[in-house]
Amino acid sequence: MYTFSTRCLAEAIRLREQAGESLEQGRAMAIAKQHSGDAEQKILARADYLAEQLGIKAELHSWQLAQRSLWLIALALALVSGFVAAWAVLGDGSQAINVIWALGSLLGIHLLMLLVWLLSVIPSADGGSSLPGSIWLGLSKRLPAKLVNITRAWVSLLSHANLLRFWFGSISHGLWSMALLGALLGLMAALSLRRYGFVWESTILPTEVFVAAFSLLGWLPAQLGIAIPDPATIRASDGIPMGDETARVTWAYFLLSAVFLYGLLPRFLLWLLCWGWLRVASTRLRLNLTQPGFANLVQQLTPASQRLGITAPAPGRLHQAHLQHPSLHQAKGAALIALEWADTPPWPEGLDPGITLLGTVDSREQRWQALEQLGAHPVERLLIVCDPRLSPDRGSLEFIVKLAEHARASMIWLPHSDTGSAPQRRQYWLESLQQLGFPVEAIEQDEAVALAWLGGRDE
Amino acid sequence: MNKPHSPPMRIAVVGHTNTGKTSLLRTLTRDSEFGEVSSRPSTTRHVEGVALFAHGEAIIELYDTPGMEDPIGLLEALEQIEQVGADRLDGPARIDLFLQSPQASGRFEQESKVLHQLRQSDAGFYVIDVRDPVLAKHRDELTILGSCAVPLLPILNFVHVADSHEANWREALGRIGLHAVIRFDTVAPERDGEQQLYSALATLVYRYREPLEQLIHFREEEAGQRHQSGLSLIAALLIDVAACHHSIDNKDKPALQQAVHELNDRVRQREQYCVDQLLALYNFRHDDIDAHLLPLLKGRWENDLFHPQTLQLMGVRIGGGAATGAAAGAGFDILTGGMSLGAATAIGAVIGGGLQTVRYTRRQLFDRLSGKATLSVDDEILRMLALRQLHLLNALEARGHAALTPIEQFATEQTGLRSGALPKALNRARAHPEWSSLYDDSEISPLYESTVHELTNHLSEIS
Repeated sequence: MYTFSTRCLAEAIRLREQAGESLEQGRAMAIAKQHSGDAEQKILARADYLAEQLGIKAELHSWQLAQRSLWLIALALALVSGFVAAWAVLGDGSQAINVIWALGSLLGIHLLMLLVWLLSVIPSADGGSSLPGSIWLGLSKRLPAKLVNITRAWVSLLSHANLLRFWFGSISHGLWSMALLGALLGLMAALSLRRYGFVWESTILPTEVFVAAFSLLGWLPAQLGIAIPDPATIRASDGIPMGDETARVTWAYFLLSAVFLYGLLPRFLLWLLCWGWLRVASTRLRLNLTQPGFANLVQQLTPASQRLGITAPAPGRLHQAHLQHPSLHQAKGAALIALEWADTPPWPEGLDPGITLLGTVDSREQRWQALEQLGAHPVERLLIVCDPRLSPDRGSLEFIVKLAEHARASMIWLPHSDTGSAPQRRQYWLESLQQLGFPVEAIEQDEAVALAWLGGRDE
Repeated sequence: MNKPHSPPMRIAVVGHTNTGKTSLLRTLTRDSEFGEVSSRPSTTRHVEGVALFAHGEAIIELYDTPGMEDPIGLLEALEQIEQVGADRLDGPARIDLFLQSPQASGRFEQESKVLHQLRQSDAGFYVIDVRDPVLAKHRDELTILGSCAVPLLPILNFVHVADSHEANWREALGRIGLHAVIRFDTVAPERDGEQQLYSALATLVYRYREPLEQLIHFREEEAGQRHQSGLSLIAALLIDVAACHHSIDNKDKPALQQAVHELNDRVRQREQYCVDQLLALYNFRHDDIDAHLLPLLKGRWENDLFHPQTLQLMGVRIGGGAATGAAAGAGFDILTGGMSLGAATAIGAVIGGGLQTVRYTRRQLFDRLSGKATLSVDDEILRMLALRQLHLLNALEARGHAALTPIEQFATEQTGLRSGALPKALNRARAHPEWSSLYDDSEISPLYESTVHELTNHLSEIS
């Protein structure tokens, strides 16, 4: 749906944004996101909108107009120069035309440049090597500043698709075709209106070489039915032009057909090829989205994810347990219990036998058992050991509250640990326990102090 | 693309509180501001959904849930439900019934949200913090979640710590039949971590295999394109710097020193611009929580580009007349005046301003005749720029320093860049001073675009 021109506009906008200009306008991104299609389509939609708003479309039109005018002028110049060159080569008729020399003058440079072009087409760096192309580009730089940006964009777009050599080629071949057409017309005009004689000359080369050369060159025209000089005529034209009308005519046709078949025709066909390929490929051309300026647009326009919103909102208040202090009769002794302690319990061997060791408690059954035992025999002092490397969760905190209900005084012991994994979790234990109602003094990390309190030996 | 679009797959991300569920979602969605992440427990208390796209089509809907905080109590409550009903209830029926009870909206309000979401999903990601040991509450949790009749994929988080309980977790999961386990550290996932995740999911829920494979391919393509974009940014930087040639009229020492310092500053600025572009490409902000894991400090390189020690660190061989260990300079070459190389080196050392060579290029014949000097940037600096930026790109793709090779090791592996001939594209750039934007605006040239392209390809081959 989007044409090459739109891609050119997108590239022009990208280059300007890369240079630091901010071209973004309010609705552009919104329009782009709404546009159906893949990332490239969205970018083109944005470019289309921005180009319209910022007048870049108008710039593109003027640029295209300028290019077209330049092209027409160049073609006209080529035509005229070819015409004039042909006249110059033929001369005014007073001297006989040296056929080889004339062919060399008219076709020599053309063939040389054609060879150079063929060699440069073999893939290497994309064609900066064409002379007409470089001149063209140089002229394009002289355009007003805004239009130079379009040139940059256009060149950038083509060179990424490796199409630049075809563009240079079509300029080159187009101009050469015009020049050779001009030469052909000039030849025809001159040959029609003046009388020329045709010779070939040489000091060191034998006749047979020339016979062979002309026969070779004349093979193709002969296939097309054009009358060309036969070997006898060739030999007879050595040095002195033949007076024979037929001979002159055949030489003339030879010259014309050589210029046509080895000059104009190949150049024209190549031009057609380059121009045709350029047109076809430019419709199939896609933006290179890995370039800076496009890459971030792609991310913004086709994001990897989209939030769907909150489906079950957070409650205002969470159900929170709180430490109770029921009055306890018959509370005596001390007890020690470890909650969710995966390794061996952290207390040392050989504690005071008066201390009830409730062990490590983890599963539901173990918790019930511990609560039952404490319920039957409430204690004065209860030390609860928790693992500070774990996260305090509601289940653990509620259980701690339940345990503390069976003791006159409770202390939570959070032993020292090499806090490699989660140093903040100890802090959250402190906060959560305090929220439950445990005073700061009831939370201890030192082993000696905790065990001393348990044994009743504090203060 | 005429196939009717099937509805997206719904996945609930569940697990015990504070295991990194929201963090996982941030990584999978590339949305660094999704939800709220802190190391405080019970951070997420709502259910929030996010859709993952591939080619503009929603493939998966992920739902972040609150953490399970009291699985022991919950299982107890669930088991009591079984006893009340007349018929024998199976797992899912029991859960459904529980969700209608008053306890579900009271004491177990948070857990109910999780169960409700899981019951409506096609699969669940069960996120595990392997730093925690396997406790009874975790087992109860798995029992509850397993009875929802939804396929569960366990995801092990924080796997990079030294003394994790990963083996115990794998065993515990295996005992309840969950053998397909994925390691996915949400801060520093492995390069193909996401692909493994979605592949395992595809095996688990076979009918969603096609869209999941679509997602995997899309993400791979995306990653490849982003890599190419990163390389072309680096190529543009290198060409910009390589092409820079600045003429100096005044050749006396202070003026030269000034000019060298200025050139160095411009190169540093240009490098910083490239760094900013790379960070933006990978959605990193300078103050990002992960930014400290990159080899940068607040988004800037710590080591000065022009300090000889930086070169030595990178293992880049210093050639020419550069002074090693001393504070400064490389060889210094002024033809007019006919100084010898030894004297020139000594002056270079005194000039300071870091490694820089004042040299002539062939194009500056005119300048030479008129007695000007030309400043350009040494090969070694180019090498270092390339190495640093490639290392940064590597780090951005690895997303965390657990997977990051230190820069010394990285540089050692890049023998192609560290020594040997510079890439052809850079040599070509040296011959085109008009391509550099360090001093003046650069000029267009079709050859420039194709040179950038060539260098990008070269970098992608060697990196």
